[in-house]
Amino acid sequence: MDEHAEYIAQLLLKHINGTLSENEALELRAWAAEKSSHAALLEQVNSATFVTEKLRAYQGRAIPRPDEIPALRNAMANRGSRLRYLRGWLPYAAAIVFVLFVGVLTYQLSSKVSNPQNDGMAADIQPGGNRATLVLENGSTIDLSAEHSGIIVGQTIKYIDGSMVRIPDKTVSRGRKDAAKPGAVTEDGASNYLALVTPRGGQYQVTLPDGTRVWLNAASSLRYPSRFMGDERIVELEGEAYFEVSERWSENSDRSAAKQPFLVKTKAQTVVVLGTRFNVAAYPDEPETKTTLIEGAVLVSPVADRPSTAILKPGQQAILSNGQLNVRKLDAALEVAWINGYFTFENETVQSIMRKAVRWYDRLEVEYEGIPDKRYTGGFSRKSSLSQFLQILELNNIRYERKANKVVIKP
Amino acid sequence: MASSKGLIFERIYYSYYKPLYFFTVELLGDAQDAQDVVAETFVKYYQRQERFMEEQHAKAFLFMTARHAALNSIRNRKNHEAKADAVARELTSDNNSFFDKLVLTELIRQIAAEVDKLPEMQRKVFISAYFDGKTTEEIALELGINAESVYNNKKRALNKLRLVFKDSDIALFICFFKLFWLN
Repeated sequence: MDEHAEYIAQLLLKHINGTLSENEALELRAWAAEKSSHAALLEQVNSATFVTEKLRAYQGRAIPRPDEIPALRNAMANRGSRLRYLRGWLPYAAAIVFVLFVGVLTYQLSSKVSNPQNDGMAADIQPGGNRATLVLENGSTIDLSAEHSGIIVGQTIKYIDGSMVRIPDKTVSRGRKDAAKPGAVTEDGASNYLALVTPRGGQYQVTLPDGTRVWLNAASSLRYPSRFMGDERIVELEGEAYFEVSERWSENSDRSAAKQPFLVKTKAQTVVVLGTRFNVAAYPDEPETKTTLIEGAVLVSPVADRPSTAILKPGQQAILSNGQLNVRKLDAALEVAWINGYFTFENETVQSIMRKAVRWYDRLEVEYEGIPDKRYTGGFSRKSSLSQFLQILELNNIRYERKANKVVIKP
Repeated sequence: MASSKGLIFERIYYSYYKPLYFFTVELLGDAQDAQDVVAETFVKYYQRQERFMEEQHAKAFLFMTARHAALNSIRNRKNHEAKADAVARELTSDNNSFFDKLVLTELIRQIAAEVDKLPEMQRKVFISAYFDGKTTEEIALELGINAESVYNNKKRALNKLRLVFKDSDIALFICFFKLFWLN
């Protein structure tokens, strides 16, 4: 039995288009002679009506989001439960004052929340999702589809499923000619700069031209070239992103040459890596810039006058605060749980928790009438609505008052 | 290689949802059952995803799993149609039907991928004309362009599709079945 379905399909395609080579035509004929069903299929694809009919059936099916399929949603939720297990390893267990959380709790809550007596429902703020804007060199913008979770940047820009990111026509006419092809290199050989920007309540993934994958958290932006040239690969980040940097060797060099470093520049520091997985949180409204290493090695270098650098090992986090660089150990998996759909807090103040909430629930405003002096450890699903999130606060005796989109924290 | 995590689940999901669904409908002839089979298939894949470092392996697993699930689905229909028996017999007797459907799925997937790559206007005109069976006048009205422009876009789309197919060197020679043991 011929087992090469893809290959046969390609022969059929060429057959339809009349581009079979002589050898290929022979192969196809031999295949058709093997079985009556093969011959029948060959006959069928000769009919444009048949092909169109099938193509229509194929295209007509809309793809549901994975989490819209109950069985799959459950499977994904079960996987999330590993996080709870991991938490037991936290070296900071002693510092835990309260444990907010978790999946099970959220499930119980979701049934409570659907109770019509809950008057907050009408005005509830839904959790964020896949939202981002791509900003081209000429300043024009493309709103990326919420149906997709990420884009791949190469010669062209595609969504993760392979469909093209459509560049609006007005972009072409307004900008320079090469703006129509954001992946292209300009005439003088320089590469274009693109920016991926997530709003509050948005997150998005991007695969850069070198194969490096980046998960961009809410209210963040990543600026990167359409092609990496020179000795270094440089991107600029504001906000939070998780990187899986691919190893690459310098283009112009011989075999003995060094790996081409990958640099993440933020306002306060630069992270230099060769090929590794790590998370950088550099929000302008946070007092600290945090770099967490999952795998490999990175060099963290503050921009500040007094140059002090730190080389991180896996499971370590560099915290840069007021030009002061400190390194500590932590459960790194918890720190990057956001890419798997979880908020996590570790010994954090209410303000710190609320800042994360504000980034995820757009329109949410927070005011303080008083600040509980406790610290909290735990987390919750990023799929929770604002009401669900607030109920978790309530369970932890954090008092608040809700006025439409505004939440006032009480002492 | 930097990543030890393997393939991104969502990418696999979005790449293969339509092909698997199409394939399963072809096997079962029933949209609802096909939907369940595809869901089951992705759940199985999701639970084992760490095993797959290459897309081709993932793909082979997905189609094998869908086939198994489709057969089970037919068996569970029981009393319903007598037709189910016939389908089951055909599916189990040898790999005929399965393989043919796989070839057809692959063919349609490749064509669909090429159509997706067309520039926006050509793609719209092409889909309206060939998928939705609309007349030139209807398309012109819908897209706000004149009839001549519809005709030109259609022609360009067809030319491009031919050209693409000719130049396509995606002819990787891949054995679909070598991962039988996965089941």
